[in-house]
Amino acid sequence: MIDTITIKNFRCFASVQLSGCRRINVIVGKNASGKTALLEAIFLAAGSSPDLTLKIRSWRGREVIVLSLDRSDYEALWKDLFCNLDQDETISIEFTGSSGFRRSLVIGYEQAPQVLLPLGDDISASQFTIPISFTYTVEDGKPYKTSPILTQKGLKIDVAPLPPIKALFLASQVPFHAQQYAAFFSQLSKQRKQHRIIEPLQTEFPFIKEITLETEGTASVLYAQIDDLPEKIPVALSSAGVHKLLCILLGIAAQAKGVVLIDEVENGFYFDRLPSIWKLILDISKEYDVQVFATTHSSECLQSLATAMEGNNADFSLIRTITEDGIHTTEQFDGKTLLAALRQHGEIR
Amino acid sequence: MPGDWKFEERNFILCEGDHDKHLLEFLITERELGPFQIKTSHECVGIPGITGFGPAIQGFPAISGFKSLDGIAMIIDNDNPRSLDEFRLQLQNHGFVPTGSQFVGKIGGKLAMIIPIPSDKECGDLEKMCLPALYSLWPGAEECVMEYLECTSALQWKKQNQLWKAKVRCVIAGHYEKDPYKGLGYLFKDKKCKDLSRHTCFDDLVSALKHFNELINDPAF
Repeated sequence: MIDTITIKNFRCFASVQLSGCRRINVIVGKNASGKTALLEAIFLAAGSSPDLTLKIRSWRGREVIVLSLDRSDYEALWKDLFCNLDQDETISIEFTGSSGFRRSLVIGYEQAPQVLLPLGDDISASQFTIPISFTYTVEDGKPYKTSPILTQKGLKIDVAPLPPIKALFLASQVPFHAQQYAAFFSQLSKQRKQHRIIEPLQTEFPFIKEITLETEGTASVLYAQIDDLPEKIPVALSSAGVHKLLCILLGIAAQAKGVVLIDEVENGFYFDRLPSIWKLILDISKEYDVQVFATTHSSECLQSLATAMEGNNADFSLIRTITEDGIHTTEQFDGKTLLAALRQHGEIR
Repeated sequence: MPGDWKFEERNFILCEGDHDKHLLEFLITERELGPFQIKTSHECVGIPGITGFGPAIQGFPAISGFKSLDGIAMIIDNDNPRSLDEFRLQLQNHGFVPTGSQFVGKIGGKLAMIIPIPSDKECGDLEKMCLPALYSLWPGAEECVMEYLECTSALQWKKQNQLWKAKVRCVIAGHYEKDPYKGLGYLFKDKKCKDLSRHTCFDDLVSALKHFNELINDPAF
């Protein structure tokens, strides 16, 4: 489990360190204070491939990628990852944890970009190594370095040969990828463990009688049997709350010993469901040894935490992202302090 | 329970109850002691009196605005010779870090000062502290009150703090025509009682708050 996170020159953060991360880490802060950036930093460093940077780019609504040898074009792919857009600096994201667990990602540009041009006229075979490097390091201290290569066919990105930490990012404005969650469900179903997710879901939403995997053409889709309906319907059509909770729980179960990152966790849930949803997230993440980092803007969502935290203080931490005089930083509080603040209805966002 | 609250001034006072709060607001305004945000333990955690102080201060560091806070003053009744030590121990179990000084410590890295009333040298409570000021409302007030309480045998009560409350009640009932039922705190909200703020019985408390203001400006803290 991640205990400390050190981030340098990433997005809005010139330098921040978090220590004392717990099973459930709730992230609060004003708009543009760095909540999502924090999730992104964790997501990138948990992985082992630079292509994750392009995923988070698209989740931020920047799907269009212009590929060319033009320096400004390829730099634009990663420029916004650098604090103050300063590509002369090096991004560094490092985790440490119990039992000597350590993992880091360093992203930076190197000098003297090289273009390999073949002899003769066959320039179609040319390729260009973009001078940005992604260096992953784990416990053994041996760096695994990879750089994207621009070819005539597109961007070739090598995966560093080291095991990633399983990580799932539930971005706030991005629809759940139906196939991915169908696969998560299938995996659980094969292990005959789907009831571990479905039963609590049914307790929360009793009108859900059954969740099954059905096919639509060649695709697998999660369907729900709902009270009074003559046919099953796709879960996505049943209710935004049911769909989201199912995806969160399946996501946690599928990232055993990994990390689940949830942006704006409260979206889609009716307020009176929130206390039990937090408890469910805690229980399932404990069962699958998953660490959760979740952002929220909602006071109701935070107050709902108190119920789940009773007797489970040590499993929680509060992280607040702050912007002060243009500098982005963080504060972190243990579960005991968080619960005491919640009990007195203190404003903790 | 009111809606979510946050720290809004640089200085914060945590006190035991509404009467303390009204008196403090009155003194701070009339004696120009500077802006303080004042909350009772009941307002914070729903637990009145000193029992609520620990649970309250435990959560303070996570509440918005704490970072901009200069210090926290905790006003408590100096009920008996042991009460201050017990109180400090309770606070320490909830995040109060003592320093070399008996009454000064830190909460979440911020200056935290315990201010006993009537004073650190005299046991008592809010009512005991205020009685001299109330007796000054009319000549012979103390003698009249004592005579009344003697007639009712209240002077034989074992609990001194209850007797102080009875004396306060007598003064208010006999003097405050506007509402004889009103409690001590409400008396201080009446502009007619403005002059009470200058009474010497409040000097120790005022001095302690001035000392608090000095400490928060002391670079050593």
